[in-house]
Amino acid sequence: MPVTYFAGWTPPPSVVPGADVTRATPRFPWQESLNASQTVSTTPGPITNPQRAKGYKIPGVQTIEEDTLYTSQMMWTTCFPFSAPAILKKIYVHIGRDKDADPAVTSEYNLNPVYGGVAPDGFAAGSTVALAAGDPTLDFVVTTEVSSLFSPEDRSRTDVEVTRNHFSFSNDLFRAVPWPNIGSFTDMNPAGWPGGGPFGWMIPLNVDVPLHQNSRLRVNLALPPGTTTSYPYNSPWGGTPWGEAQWGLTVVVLEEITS
Amino acid sequence: MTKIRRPNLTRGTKLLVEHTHAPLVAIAGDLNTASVGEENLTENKGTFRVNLHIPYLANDYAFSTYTSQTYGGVANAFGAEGEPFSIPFTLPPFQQQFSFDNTSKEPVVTEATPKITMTELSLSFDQRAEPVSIVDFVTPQAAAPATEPLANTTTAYEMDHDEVSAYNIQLSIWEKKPTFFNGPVDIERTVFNAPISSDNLSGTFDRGVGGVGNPTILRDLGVPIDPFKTYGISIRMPALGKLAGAPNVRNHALVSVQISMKFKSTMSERDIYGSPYNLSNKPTKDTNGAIRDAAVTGLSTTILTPAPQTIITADDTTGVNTQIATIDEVYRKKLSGGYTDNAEVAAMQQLADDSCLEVISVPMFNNRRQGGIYADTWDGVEPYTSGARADLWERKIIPLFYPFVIHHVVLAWNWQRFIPVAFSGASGLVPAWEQCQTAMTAEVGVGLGTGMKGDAFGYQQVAALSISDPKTPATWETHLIDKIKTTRNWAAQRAGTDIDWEMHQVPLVPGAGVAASGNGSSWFSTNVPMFAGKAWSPTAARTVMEGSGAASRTFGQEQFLEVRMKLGTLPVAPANSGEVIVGYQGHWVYIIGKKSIT
Repeated sequence: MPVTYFAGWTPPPSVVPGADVTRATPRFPWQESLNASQTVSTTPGPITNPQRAKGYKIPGVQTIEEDTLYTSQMMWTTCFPFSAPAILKKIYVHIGRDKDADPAVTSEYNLNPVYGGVAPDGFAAGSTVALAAGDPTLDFVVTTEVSSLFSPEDRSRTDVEVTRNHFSFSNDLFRAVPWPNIGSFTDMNPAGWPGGGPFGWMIPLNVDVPLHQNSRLRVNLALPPGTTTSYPYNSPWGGTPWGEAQWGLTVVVLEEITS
Repeated sequence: MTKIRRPNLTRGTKLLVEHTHAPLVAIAGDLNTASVGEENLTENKGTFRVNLHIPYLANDYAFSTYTSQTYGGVANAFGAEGEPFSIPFTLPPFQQQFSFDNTSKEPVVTEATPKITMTELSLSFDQRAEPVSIVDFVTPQAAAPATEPLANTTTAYEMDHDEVSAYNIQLSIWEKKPTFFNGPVDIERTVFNAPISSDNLSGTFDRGVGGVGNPTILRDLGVPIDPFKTYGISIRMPALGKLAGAPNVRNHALVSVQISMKFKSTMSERDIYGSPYNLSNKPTKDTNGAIRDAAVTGLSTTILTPAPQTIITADDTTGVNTQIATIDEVYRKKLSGGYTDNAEVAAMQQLADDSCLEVISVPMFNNRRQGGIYADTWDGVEPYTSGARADLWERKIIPLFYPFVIHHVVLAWNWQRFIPVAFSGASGLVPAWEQCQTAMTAEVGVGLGTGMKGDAFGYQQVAALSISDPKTPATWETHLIDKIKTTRNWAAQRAGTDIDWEMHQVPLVPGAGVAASGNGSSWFSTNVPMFAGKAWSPTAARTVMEGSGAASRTFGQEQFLEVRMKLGTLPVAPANSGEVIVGYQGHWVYIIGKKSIT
């Protein structure tokens, strides 16, 4: 029978009165994708999974420690354990933003996923896959993994069930033709969401993957790192990428009929 | 529906048609009329879950011991004992079985009331794939004089191999009779209690050994659920924060917490357009059309019975074996029922009971910067509150993949206190102290939407509630189901406002701004159940909205559910700046309905 999991939230706004209000803190549940540095432990253990997931590398961001542009992306991981066999049917990722073209909207979330003036490292003009300013970004990743039964905490041994990487989620607009402006359609109550009609992106993943008994499914969403002055990557996600959009994750699973 | 039984015959009994063919005729009758009920199924219980995702649990909530000194100008602000974090929920009967004595306020339980059992509880969180705890963004609070915690600007979010013991957890499932049914505000019974030791969390091979750790899966619970009661889950983590005299020196956070409670309930009949309810938005192909109604279209399985005074044989035309083979053939092809993802049904159906409860849990105003929202800092901190805007808004969009019928919507309103963090290092923040005393208005709505990657667009209101002024029962408690006290010390310090949670019914309505018809069955006046499911062309034609007679504004093409909240006339200059507007990690909206096999 179908079972629906939902998670999501609206992050704090980026620019508000008062010096202590930014999207910089807190950023949970987003955590760094790389497990390398640790400064707090007096008896640090060995790092067992330098990479928390597979297949999330994006243009211009190197996840190999030896690379000079080595840095961590931001990852939101949710684990879904299943004691009985199930079928992972569908995943939807909602990245919501405001419809700033609507005159009634005071835009607080206005992510525009195109590259800026500096192309990602290794993807400049002349490279095999050239990316230029104004091109849609290829910097958001969704992966799903199932842990190995025989080595459940070794992330290099997970089964990747579905991954979307190196894709432009600009093609996954919530609605290709923008939703009409506030006041131009019959709304639900409470009417007049200040960000306008549904806008942004809805990324559907048709999965249809059987999950074995005692499986541990992980859904990972990966963002680019926050940009800094020293990092030559012109990301539209800015310095606090986790705060640039409203987030929604819907996972649909088929589970058993039982006695 | 017939409970099929094979008659036991003693040796030497003369075989009669009643012994051999009559049971087969009964079976064929059930198959032909789509009347195979759950009593004739070995696996007759459906599975559903209450899934709760919490972005983080940290020390902006008093999980650990806190000083009882004056803090933020409030004496004995937090008491001396850590408090559990809780989330309540309820699993009410379908509208068809929702009945209570309006005089005594006693629920009426019948044989048809769903029999629900909690079978499993799971908990998982994000340890960054390492045997570590995650350092909090909240610094440990100074012992004396007590000051509000500051933001951890040096080690927040880092991995901590030393203090994994911070993740010693106690999970509890509790139960109470709702105040609507004259129950108390206190929790009445702990129905299940599970300590989760952090021992496994330090392992490098498997941190969920034996179903304990990360993830934790507690199986075979067998907890019976009363559909008229309120249940809740509480989480205690007394070592999550630095404790006086304890070896741990840092605060920690539990990140991306996924709680899933799995239930099974006896399968019920799929909702039809007809007695007792003319469902809103029901595909007409399954009701008014000549085909596809379970009661109309069935097989034509025929059992040939020997003529009187003839010998009962095995293998000829009317033979027992021949007739059993006829039945077997149907079962080999398996029995059909339920809906596809496009609200289509099988051409021929045999199952009468193919549905069970469904709950979609939607968090609202969660993952706020201060853990919750309180009067001292909401203005300008919350989205859309800068400038001339003065309302708090929240919206969640949940795509529909499989159809279901919405029977109830319940709002769990959170008053749980929290401890605002001074992110800039500035002092002076007061604790989020008591429930809002200002004439705040709260509006919550659930709608069906269409327009996702499509041409058409529109909303159809499913449920709506507007309440105001939390201190005035006449305007705030119009649809109150329950008041719940889940903390001890915190609640004790808030005379008159000692409630941590409230449960409100959000009545189903025929449309935006239209009152409920009152033809449904629930705690308060409500509309009849409403079908919700995406369609293909044959299933887009729908029944009208009961109560208004208008067609659905999603044209039978709904694609998503939207849950929206608006909090208005907020206390910009409240008498007590510590007034809680939204408690720690937000409210929950439960969309409760009936789903079918697919």
